[in-house]
Amino acid sequence: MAYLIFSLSLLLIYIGLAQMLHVQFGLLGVPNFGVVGFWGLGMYSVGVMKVQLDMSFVDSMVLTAALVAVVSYVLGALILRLERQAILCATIAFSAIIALLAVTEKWMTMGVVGLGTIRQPFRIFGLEEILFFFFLLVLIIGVQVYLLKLHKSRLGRLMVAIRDNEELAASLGKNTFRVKIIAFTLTCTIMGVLGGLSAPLNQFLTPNMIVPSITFAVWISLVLGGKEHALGAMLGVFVTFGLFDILIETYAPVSPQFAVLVPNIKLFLYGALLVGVLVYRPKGFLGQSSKADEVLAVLGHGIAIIGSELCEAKNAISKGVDRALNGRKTEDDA
Amino acid sequence: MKLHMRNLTKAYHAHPVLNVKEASLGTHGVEGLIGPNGAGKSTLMGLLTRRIKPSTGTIKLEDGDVTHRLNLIRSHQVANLGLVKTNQRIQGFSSLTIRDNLRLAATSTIDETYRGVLDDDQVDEAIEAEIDRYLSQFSFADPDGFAKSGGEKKLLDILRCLILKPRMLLMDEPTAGLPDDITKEVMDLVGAKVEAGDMTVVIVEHDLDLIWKYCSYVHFLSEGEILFHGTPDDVKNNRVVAEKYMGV
Ligand SMILES: Nc1ncnc2c1ncn2[C@@H]1O[C@H](COP(=O)(O)OP(=O)(O)OP(=O)(O)O)[C@@H](O)[C@H]1O
Ligand SMILES: [Mg+2]
Repeated sequence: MAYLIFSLSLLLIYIGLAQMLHVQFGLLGVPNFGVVGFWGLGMYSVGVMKVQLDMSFVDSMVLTAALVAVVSYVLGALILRLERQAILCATIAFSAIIALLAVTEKWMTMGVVGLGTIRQPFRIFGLEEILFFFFLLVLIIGVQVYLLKLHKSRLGRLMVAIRDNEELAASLGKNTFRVKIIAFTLTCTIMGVLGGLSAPLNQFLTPNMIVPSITFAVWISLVLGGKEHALGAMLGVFVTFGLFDILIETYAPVSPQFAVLVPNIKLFLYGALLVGVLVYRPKGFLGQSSKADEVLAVLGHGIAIIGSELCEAKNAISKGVDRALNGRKTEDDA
Repeated sequence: MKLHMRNLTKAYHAHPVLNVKEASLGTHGVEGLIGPNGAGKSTLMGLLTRRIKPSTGTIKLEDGDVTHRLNLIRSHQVANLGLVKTNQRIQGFSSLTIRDNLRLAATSTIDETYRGVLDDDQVDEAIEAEIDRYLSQFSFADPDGFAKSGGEKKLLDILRCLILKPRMLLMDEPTAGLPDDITKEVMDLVGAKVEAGDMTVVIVEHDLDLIWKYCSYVHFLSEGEILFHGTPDDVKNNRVVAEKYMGV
């Protein structure tokens, strides 16, 4: 049960990250490939403030938000006028720097030894985890409601226009750089806050948590779900993290000897799923339309397909592994 | 509104494409800017709206008593001063409907805020009424859908600029790709706005009949330099223009 709550809380964090990436890339066309950097900066910032400086959770969160805001504003000012490829490289580099600093700045981060323990903010015995989960849930639902409204708003229209043709938007009198840097700063700050909220979730921080695969997982989720759709981030994370990491890793009856295979198979299936979606639905499961019933239809359809594919894949794999193992056994016997 | 430029040059990779010693635009209502392909007409319009950075030279925008030095500002600020340009090559926002294109142009930036997202009422009656007026005058196959043909995109480009209520409008080959009847309608509307004193216009065109019909003053640009300017009759009878452009 505790593990389930932990997983679901993490799921919410991932949804939050994908929601922010949706605004950056889906609406504004800013390819932030350094998601894990902002998340990791926030997480370590809260960790250091709580463990080394013994600050309260609220104080550390507020200071962390301010810190990430300043960092992302400065980064944005440096890179947001550049071409998309350059933004992509610069953000990857940024996240690599953050990961490196977590290792090298031992006086703050304790380096590879790890930093802990960061306790839950809600100190009600036995309910800490579940309260924290509901806190995250409310937060993510709030963000989702805002995103749905953003899609219908004037600001949302302006963002899409900038994504489609920034120069043309500027020629209509829109200060496109200002729109981009404010949105980038805000969304990166929220990524940092989500990182800060991950600190008590993980309790013990090590530098190897800041790995590019988190960035990729968020990207894959968003692209799968539909990068331009208000609900794309949420659906994408359900399908990837929710289905694979929680349902399959936790509940699928995989015998222990194959358990080591699961993460690899997962990556393989992520990739296959991504290729499939990009080929058949380049704009993700949800595409662009925001009609609710169509969304539900596609959602149900998608889950059904993936479910059946997965069952087949699992059968095939377990058969194959069985055969391989049995084969080896007979060899051993001989 | 008037534009003054001085020693304005542009070179790409040390290859000069524009060199205007001194010129003024916007003093005669509707003006024409003509010249052979590659003369630098579009480059000049790009420089004037700050879409392209000049290699050297100054551009000043005179608005009544105030003079703005355009060298110091960015393209969106130029548009906000009232100097707007339509595009020769088709440009658009592929995910906005025709109506949303016009809404985007008509909406002021101060309404495009994060707080505003929470307001349920994102409709501005005055803007909607104005859009309806434009859409009843110029018919699109599906105004709530996307601009489909090149002609629709070109027309939308011009309407996007008009709805900004420019004080000075630069039109880069407005008729290329537009059917004749729509061209006439657009030009009549533009002419009426100039007549009413709402704006001044500079038109770049290869369709010389249109230039002679609507313009009261014409500038002739060739190989990056303004070689001649005068009334349509002066230009028509000028030897240099005839030699370099009219192909005689
Ligand atoms: N980005 C660029 N890089 C290099 N050369 C350019 C660039 N833009 C324009 N040029 C060159 O500058 C010259 C002027 O181009 P411009 O588009 O201003 O001509 P134009 O008078 O508008 O011609 P047209 O009537 O064909 O539209 C051309 O020789 C063109 O090749
Ligand atoms: Mg041109």
